Amino acid sequence: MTRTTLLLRSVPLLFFPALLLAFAAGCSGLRKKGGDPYGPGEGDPLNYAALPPRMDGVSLYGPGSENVQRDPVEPVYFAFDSSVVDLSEMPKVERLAGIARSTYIIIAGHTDEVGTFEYNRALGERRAMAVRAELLNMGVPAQNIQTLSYGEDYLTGQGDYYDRRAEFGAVIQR
Amino acid sequence: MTRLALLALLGCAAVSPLPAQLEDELTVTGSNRVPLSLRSFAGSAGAAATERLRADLRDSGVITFSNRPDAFRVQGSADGSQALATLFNPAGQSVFDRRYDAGSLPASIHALSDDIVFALTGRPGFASSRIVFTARRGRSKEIFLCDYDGAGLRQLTRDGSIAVAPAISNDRRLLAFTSYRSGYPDIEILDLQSGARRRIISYPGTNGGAAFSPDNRSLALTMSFSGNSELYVTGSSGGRPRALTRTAAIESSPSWSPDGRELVYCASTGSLPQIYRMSSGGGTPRKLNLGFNYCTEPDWSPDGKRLVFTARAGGSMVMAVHEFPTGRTAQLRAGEDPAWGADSRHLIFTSGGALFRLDTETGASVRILPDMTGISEPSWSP
Repeated sequence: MTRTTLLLRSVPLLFFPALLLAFAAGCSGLRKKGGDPYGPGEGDPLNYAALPPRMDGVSLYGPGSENVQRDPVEPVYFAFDSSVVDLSEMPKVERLAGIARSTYIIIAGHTDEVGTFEYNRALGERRAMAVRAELLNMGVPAQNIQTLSYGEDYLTGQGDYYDRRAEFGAVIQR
Repeated sequence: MTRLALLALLGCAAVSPLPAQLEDELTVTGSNRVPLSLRSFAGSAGAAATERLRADLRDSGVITFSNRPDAFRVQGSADGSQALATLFNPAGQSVFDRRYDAGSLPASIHALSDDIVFALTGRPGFASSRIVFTARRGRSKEIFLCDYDGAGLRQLTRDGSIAVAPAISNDRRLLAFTSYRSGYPDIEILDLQSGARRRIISYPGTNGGAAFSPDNRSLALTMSFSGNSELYVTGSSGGRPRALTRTAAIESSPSWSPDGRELVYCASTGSLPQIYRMSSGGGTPRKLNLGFNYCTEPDWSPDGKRLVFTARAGGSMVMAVHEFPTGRTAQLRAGEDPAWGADSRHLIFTSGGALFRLDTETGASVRILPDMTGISEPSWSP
């Protein structure tokens, strides 16, 4: 079940309303017409894998950052207002999976400075979760992956494209 | 009175966003202002008190100074931090006769101003209110507090980290905010009187956007420990959070209805964020049809009648007001993160990192803290 849901999440979410409406048209009565089929409160209960506890003494930018290798894989970049991992970015995710199978990693989601701060924090979290979903699909144990979002608070200074990213840290094993 | 004027404003604007050049024509003159005669205060602090009271009453937007015979009249005296004042009606009868000592002369006069506004209009004033906001300091973000007009500015955090999304409680005693000083986004509570600071939420993932319930006992917030961002309600001193949503959408920015029974919040179902309304006890959310395809940061007015939010229109961020009784939405001006004042008429918001106060009735806006930049996410107490 978890696996199915996560697979679904890696499909561009934009297509969902159309998909579900198409289903609804096919099997009448299963779903209300004209609503927001993938909106809050509707659809099946979701079954995500919970995040593991934060590992003591490690963080990406805060206390314990000396125990974390920054950018073990270069950041995954996203389209504007999107949290879909593009196929062209998947080789990075595959390399990250190779590390995360045996190492605790931190995924930090970021956005460009377009949009409001709190929404961008939500969008950054969604990006981190999108990369996490791909890693889980590749068999990485959920207890090895922590996520957080910085929204637009850590811009790269290199432009919007580079700001819309999920960046990674891997705990250094001593 | 105020409501009629806003209705007129909303009526002009209907649902479709207005072209920017029409904004100035929405100005409604203050024919509904109450005439008041302000006599110079006696006492050693009389001049300062008179000046302060004049500014507060002017900024309230509901008073016009007049010596006409049908004007109300206020007179009093001030010494040190104390003030004594009497408000008379046009017949010369005392409406109230009160003594104020709120710890400082400005605080005492703010309290007097709010009493006058309430006595003359039946609506709360905002002179005693507090504003909290985030401001950039190099690579860091810190939280600041000031009076409604920018006076009494205080820096509340000095973490050298990211401290954002401040929310002030309705009793002005507590501040809730998102702090990254642990290296992760946690919810912390700062007692504004004692200075005591406590981390109350530090679940895995991202914890953020906490908003106090009207009774200050609960917080609505977003957390992602379940593996996806969801909306929760928890006690403002901690306790076990209760999930309000369980969806594939990403929820953020909850704001309470004044009776505490409902919440509005922003949710993105994969691309463009919209605003939803639901019971604070849980249940089925209802999407609000606001006429914009990108709506964030809703704030429910203290009188319960309106919602202000940030929308994207024509590639830039604008503010808009939705009125619940009529279902109408009117675009205001460019800006982000609007928050209602206690009078449900004035707003504070940011634009280009500067902080402003807007009178939604006249369309006039004033910059607060003109020397300060990098400001975001203001919150305004009653």
